Amino acid sequence: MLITILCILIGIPLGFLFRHNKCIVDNVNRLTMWSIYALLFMLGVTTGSNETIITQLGTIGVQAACISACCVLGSASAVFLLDKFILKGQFDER
Amino acid sequence: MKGSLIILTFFIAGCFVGHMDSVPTWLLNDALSTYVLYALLFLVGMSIGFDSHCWTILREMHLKVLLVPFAIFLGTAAGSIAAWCIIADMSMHDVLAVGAGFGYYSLSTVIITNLGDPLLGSVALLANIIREIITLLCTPFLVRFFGKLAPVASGGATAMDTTLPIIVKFTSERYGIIAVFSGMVLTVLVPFIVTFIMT
Repeated sequence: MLITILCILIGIPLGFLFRHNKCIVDNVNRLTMWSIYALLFMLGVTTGSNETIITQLGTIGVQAACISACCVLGSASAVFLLDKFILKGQFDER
Repeated sequence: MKGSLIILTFFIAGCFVGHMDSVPTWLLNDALSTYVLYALLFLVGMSIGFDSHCWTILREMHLKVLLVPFAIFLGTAAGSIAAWCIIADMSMHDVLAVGAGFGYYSLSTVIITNLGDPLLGSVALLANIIREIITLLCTPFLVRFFGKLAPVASGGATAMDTTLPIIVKFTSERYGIIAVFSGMVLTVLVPFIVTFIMT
């Protein structure tokens, strides 16, 4: 856990330092994309070689859809209440 | 949308490679994906550093803007608990960890998988991709029924990048700024919250 946090914390000041260097910004964006692709591919390999997951794919899909639908409704209701009772339309254009 | 389809393609391609009988063993090595994850987190840190107007927005809109990601966080947790009541065979702990991805599927999936639960990792991948797709498709309805902050909430961590164009299109520039800020806060929080729930 400590290493994951450290990785982000080391990146922030470095990013701030090089924020005007277009070459670095572009390369960081490209590298981010490719490391996500690489990770998801490796994740797929792990998933595909795991028999339990393959046999339970239907269940997983239903569970995932249920969780995301509930999270969307829950967070949308939360900001609705926030706007109605605390912010009272303060973010609207004046 | 195109981005998430490419990512999904990579994942599915990986699934097929993994399902073949002769998988190269170095691909199944956990250490490799852990190092790529560290590199990714470092890069995410750098892109947060690139964007210096986060602080300007905060000053302009006062501290009340912070209430938006906070409300999204609480609402998502409440939604996860509701989902846990519907799904019989998952622990509350697991459902909360999946929900805490806030749509940031790449990071939350990898963290959960690396912490030793590949099955839950796949649930997290699908659930968070679906959250992004719901935001992309249902923003007009969300705005109509829950107000202009709703797509920002639904988008979660993706409100600062992939779902931002659609949010600005159906609300306004000002809500776009709020979306960037809220997405940024949630993006930073995802690795912390997911790791915290899982350990």
